[in-house]
Amino acid sequence: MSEVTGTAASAEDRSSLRLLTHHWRNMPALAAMLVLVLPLMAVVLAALNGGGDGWRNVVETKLFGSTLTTLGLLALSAAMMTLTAVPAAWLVTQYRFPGRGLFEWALILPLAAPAYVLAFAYKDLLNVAGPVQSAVRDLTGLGARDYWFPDIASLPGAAFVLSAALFPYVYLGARSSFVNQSVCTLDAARLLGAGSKRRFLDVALPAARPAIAAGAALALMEVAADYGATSHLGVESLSVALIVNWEGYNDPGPAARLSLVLLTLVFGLFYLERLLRGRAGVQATSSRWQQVKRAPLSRWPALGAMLLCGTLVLLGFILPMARLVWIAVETQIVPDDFTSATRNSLLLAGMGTAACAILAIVTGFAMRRGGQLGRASRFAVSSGYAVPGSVLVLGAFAIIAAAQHVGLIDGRTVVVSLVGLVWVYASRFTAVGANAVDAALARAPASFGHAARSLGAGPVKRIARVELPIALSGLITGTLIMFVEILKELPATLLLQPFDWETLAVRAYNYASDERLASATLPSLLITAVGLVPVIILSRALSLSRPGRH
Amino acid sequence: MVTELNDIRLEAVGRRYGGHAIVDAVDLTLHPGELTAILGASGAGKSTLLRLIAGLEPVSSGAIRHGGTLWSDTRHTVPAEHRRVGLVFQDFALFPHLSAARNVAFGLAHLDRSEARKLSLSWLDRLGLSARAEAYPHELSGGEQQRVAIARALAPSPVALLMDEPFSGLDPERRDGVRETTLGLIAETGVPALLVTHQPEEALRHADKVAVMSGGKLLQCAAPHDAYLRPSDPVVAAALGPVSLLGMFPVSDGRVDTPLGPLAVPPSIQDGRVTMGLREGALSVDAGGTIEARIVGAALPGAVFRVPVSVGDLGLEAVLQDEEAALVAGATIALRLNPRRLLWFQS
Repeated sequence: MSEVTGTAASAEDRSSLRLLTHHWRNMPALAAMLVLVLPLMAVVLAALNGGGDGWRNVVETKLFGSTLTTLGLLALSAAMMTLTAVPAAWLVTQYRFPGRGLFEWALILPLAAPAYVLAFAYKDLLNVAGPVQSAVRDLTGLGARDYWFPDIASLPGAAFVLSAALFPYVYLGARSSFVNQSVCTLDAARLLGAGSKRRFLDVALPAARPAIAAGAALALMEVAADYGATSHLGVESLSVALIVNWEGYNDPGPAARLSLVLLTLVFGLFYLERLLRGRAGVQATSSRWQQVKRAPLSRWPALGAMLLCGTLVLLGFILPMARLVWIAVETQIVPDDFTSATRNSLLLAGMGTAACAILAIVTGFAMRRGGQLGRASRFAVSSGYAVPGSVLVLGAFAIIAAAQHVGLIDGRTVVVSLVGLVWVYASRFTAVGANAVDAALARAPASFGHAARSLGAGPVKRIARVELPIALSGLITGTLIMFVEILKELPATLLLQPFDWETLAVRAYNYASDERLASATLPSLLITAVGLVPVIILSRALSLSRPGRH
Repeated sequence: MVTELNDIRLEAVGRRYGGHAIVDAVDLTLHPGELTAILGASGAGKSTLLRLIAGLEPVSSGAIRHGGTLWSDTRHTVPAEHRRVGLVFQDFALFPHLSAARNVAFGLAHLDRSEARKLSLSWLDRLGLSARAEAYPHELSGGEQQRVAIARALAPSPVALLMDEPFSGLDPERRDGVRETTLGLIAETGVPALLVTHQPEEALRHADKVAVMSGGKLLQCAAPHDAYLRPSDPVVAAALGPVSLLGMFPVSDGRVDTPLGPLAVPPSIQDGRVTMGLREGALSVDAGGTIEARIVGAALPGAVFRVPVSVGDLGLEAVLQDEEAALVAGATIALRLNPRRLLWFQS
């Protein structure tokens, strides 16, 4: 305390008053944190109480197989994504070849489409009656049983579809690291006799490993959490198993325990990455940025680079989307409930985004303020983000059951379901907005607040006139991303939506599951089209984000 | 690896970016056993010149040769990884994921692993870092990082050593020690060495030759003493130390009238106009002097006292060995001119 005047007693009064006001000021952040972590806590509680026959049955029949399937999915997609996206990122940052500028941003296009939409398209493209196999038969004259063709409805098939949809996370991580790596370090390696291969393998790649691992961890979390694509392709991962179990038995215990196994895998991934990193430093040792001078590639290597990047964009976006557009144009089917599904989607995404935005501002401020509360907020926000929607929705069910038990509500009415869904969305996606608010506030120097104070602004005015506008500026893109993520969300919406109140994502999934792909295309394409908006904003930001560029 | 030490010759080397010359027709030879320092303002083209020699950029005109081997011309560039040139960066550029020993061993890929490690440890030992061999860059102090960077550059027996402001990132206390060690090792290995620096004292004290660049051009390359006292250009004079420039004065019959009185110009100056430069110490306070001046401010103490004076309308600085005279602002004093500290530039 800087004040030295006044009696000891009055100073004491003032300090307890301060504590109280601080306490009150902390209330919104504490409430927000509770909202964020309550579904997860409910799942853990349900799991603790969830023994018995149901669980014994799961252990005997499902647990081992679906755990192994999830591990297989994770391993295969990790390999597919890193082996393709990392070299692609290296090529577009370090070399000149035809189409490089286009590929640099087109490689993130797959982020626009949810994995389940890709799964619909690929299952249609590659099944026995699909255009690819038909073409094979037409060309060779073979019958349907005369040749072997890889089955897309299999574990490797699901890994392929998920990798095609999610590799941009790995690409973005690798790319940002390669762009930000000191050119001096690569120059130093050259002068020490390292050719291009050794520079990539021994210098750039190890330095980029944490960024690649972070990108891969994000993508693999999505792989582990995926329900739509995996179940559409008939693969029973943990995420699928827990929803099937819940739908089949309506018993939260075993499903909650399965989700704990899933969560252990997800958090295990993070721990493994930290463990592997060890003591080796990864921060740049050279801080001078020089414009990356991309070396031109000669004919064959350039062709190879174009082939790699082109194939990734083709498989991750163009091919599946072209197929869906083709079907949509060919059949011209507009499902009856398309309008109502669109309205429901927009309404739900709007409500969810509003909830996320409010929580994001509250927790974002707490995160920036730091201290214990800040750390706790950060934990609450990111733990929600790491937990699959299929797990959170179980928590929502548990909370609804508890509320019903104590007589707070009369079962799952439309309002209860909608509130439950908004809660799950908030718990899952607030992180996006909160991090954006935190980043925006971090960019504003503390002297802003000091300046406002010296101009006579009290705490309320400071928040309203200075800090809130700064936070909102950061929240704009965050809001857009949250809106799109909610629009794409499938498992939670599928389970918790009110009866007869389907969204675009649920409609598309149900049609596709019923082998009515033509009806699923329009909702799928609409979701993807909306998903393109943040992707385009991101790709613009990407092209402007090179160090040394202002 | 036995390294044959040869000259590195730059012949009218130029580098242009989008029509703008960053390096313009530079002729320069780096001899084995010689340290050449390059001075110049930011953007003078020093670092680009160094990158051209290293092979990190192609030349737009001219040629670079190492002994009888052509390294760069407009059609041909030996890649940097094949030149065996050591480069030390201002910010060290150590590989963050490798220990000190493995950083040094990076350039020893032609040796087997144990030999490379042995050599790397012996270099670290020479630089007083044997205890830090297993430390990672972020665990090392700035001075230690730079010593590792120097060991890394010298370990593969380079044919030349290029240093881009290698000491400017260090604390002043560490700078002298690291510089001493580095320059000692360079002298020992006998490689031609090039040092880009912003500090004229560093260049004048340690280099065998001092080169000054401005606007991409190499203005002068000479022994430090010559460059300091006989700069070819006012820019060179200013780059190497404080100088007061007065001009332009008409010359007739080898003489010129200046505010400091009539003076004889060196025989190399022809009739026309000249600019006169006064190096530090050109004017000294001396009761027997012939130039009348007035003290205009407080003297700055130091090895010598530096007294701000005016001669007529001209503001200058004079030196005084001991503070025996009454140096009161406004007092009139006599100054003596030391002609050996005068610089003359033909306009």
